[in-house]
Amino acid sequence: MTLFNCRDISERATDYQENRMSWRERLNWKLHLLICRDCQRFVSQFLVMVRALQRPLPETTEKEVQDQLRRVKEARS
Amino acid sequence: MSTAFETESDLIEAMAAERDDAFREAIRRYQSPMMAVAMSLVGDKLADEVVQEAWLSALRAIGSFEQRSSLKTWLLRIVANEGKTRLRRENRQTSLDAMLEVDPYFRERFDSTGHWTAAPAAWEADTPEALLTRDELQHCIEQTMMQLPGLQQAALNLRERQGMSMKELCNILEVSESNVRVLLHRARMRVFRTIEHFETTGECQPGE
Repeated sequence: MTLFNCRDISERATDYQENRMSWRERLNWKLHLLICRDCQRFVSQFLVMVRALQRPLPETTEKEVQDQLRRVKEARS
Repeated sequence: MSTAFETESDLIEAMAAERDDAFREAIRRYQSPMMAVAMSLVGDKLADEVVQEAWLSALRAIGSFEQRSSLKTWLLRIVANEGKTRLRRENRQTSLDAMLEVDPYFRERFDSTGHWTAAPAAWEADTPEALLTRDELQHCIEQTMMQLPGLQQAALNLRERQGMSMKELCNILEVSESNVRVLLHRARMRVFRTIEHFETTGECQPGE
């Protein structure tokens, strides 16, 4: 198997984070990270970023509910 | 009047029976996610109209909804369709291929052997909390997301902010699983680029 280089790591970071790698690819990934400090930093920061982006949407406000309900009813009447 | 709908099927049935309390409950649950998808695809100004159209289509079709997906997924797929139709009608759609391409910026971050030309910069913010507590950076990240191509933005929103699965993303956006992965990754890498730029220069550069 061809070993991953840094570009491959950057291209596959979502597949790694989403658990979409075969065991072979995962091994390849780990081997590269063992020897590459730049990619260690890239991956750890990438994962921090993904976690930071995971925030729930705001709830719909009562006013938004009423407005939308009114518009739907108007259009259907 | 508010009625508790114990199961999703109860809600769907009540919607099909055109009950007001069911419409209200569905809007309460799904308006925010629907607006988020519409805004990603068509922008703030048209999102209202797209969501309105989507509700009307959904209520017309609810009687024949077979519940092979969740109600939320079904509604979001309708929104995405309305949004895409809108873009097509106004000749504003970007090709999927263009949205799957590698950011030229990252092409230059690697040499011909695939090594970093410039090593990734170390971020001062090294936890998610630290990233989020800096208002300026937070604002910059939001601006970056708003400028992403529609399907990338929608994929990012559905995955990170709504916790939808990759499979649901495929269903909602009607793209293949491998394309969804690429869309999501491109969006994330664009945000990564913004954070890195901010960390090294203190400046926000959300666009191309």
